[in-house]
Amino acid sequence: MNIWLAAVLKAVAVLMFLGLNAFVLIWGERKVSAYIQRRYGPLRVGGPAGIFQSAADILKLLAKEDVMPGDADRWLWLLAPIVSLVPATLVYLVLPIGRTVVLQNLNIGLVFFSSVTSFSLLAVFMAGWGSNNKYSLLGAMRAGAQLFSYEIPLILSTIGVVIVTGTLTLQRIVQYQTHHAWFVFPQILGFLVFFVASLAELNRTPFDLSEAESELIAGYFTEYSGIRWALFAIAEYSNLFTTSALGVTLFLGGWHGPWLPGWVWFLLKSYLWVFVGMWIRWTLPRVRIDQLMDLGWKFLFPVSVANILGTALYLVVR
Amino acid sequence: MIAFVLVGLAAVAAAVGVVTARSTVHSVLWLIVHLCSLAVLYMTLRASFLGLVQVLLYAGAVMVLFVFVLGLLSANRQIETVPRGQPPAQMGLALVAAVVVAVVLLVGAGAGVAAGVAAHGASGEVSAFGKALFGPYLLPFEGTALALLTAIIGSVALSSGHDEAMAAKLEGETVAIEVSHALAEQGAAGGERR
Repeated sequence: MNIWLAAVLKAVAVLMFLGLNAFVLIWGERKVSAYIQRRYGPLRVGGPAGIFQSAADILKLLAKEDVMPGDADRWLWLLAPIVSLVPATLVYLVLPIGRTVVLQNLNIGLVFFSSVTSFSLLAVFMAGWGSNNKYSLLGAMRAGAQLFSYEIPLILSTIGVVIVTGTLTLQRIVQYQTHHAWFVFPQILGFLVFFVASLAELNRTPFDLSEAESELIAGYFTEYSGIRWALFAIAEYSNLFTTSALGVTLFLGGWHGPWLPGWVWFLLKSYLWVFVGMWIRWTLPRVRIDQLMDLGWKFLFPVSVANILGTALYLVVR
Repeated sequence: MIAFVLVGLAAVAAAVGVVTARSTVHSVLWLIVHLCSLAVLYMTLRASFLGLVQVLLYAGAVMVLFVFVLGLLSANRQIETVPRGQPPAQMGLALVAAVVVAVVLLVGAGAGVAAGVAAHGASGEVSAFGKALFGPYLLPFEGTALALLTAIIGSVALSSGHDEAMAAKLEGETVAIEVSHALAEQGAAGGERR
């Protein structure tokens, strides 16, 4: 097939999945939060269990007035939602979806994932600064400190897996797990650090300090409404899925599983991980900013380094 | 080749943006565009690992720190912008710097420096990269690490805990008092504006 046509088709598929994923997760988040709070959640909007709530949400956002703050830094403010979508879209390139299904089997897939996701912070800062609003700027600054602090344990926690498999190709890491134990058991420390750090990277409660609504209104996207806000939301839900999918790929055997085809297992495991994240979000209260920093630098960081040293020692001694 | 030239032009354009932007934040963002273009240039030269590390470390981590410092320093006041109409003084300096770098590069290429580098690290693969870094280039690599560590310790020593005492020691106590007054006033002004 023509290489350009293939590239266009892949891009369209990823964008369609981005929309579908947000559609399902908006409804899922409402339902999960409702059941945890002993409510029913959306029921009357149509479809089974009110699934068309998402459609109603999207229509509302599309119809909303597009308000731009008078003192905004025009270009930064306009570009921020679009910039936030770029890393969210790019990371799908390296995720191994099935035994033979991966959009681009890069030999440095893991590095690609981490370096692309480090960009999401840029959009946050552009939004926070461009809005020219105290709450937005405070939210962006908090997000900066938080994402920067938790990116380090997040990356370090994956190094153990890389040392054992000796590859940065995500597809090979999954293939290794098909004839060994899934890494969640031998790399339990790395798994736990990855899980906590990924919750913080995604700005989810208990770590959602950058958009803490009781302190900062909505943090960096206070000034956004309508379709621009929706772009942020789509990117956020997409990041939720892709980070979970990376965790599944590294620690839970990716597409590996009995009976069902690989991509079904991949989706099942990823959405299970997303569900656990939602469960935690609606159960635990928010931490304070100093507790957040302490946890990142004084606990997760040493633990992830210890995990690397332990893994390396084991491989040498064995 | 076409991609190389196009991205190279983008990199130069972004670099021009860095020095001509009228607000500091825009400068920093142009610098990020520039660093990303450099990363793409590395990738077109088959050093994709180096390109991604460039994105992760420079465009990601280092520029985030830049942006962070900028936000902290100027959260309370308008960032100084160069008035429109007059060309910024940095333009001249940037031109001089560009000429110097171009001359150095041309001389270096003539002396065969570039050829030597290409012979050592011909492949941009991760394993070749690691072997070069921990083989022939081990000493410079560790030396750089040591220099960075020294810089970190120095900055921690300069900024840890004794800000007021340090300020008093360095510039006399009156300055410190003035600074704290100014900060208090700024805080009050910020409160009123809301």
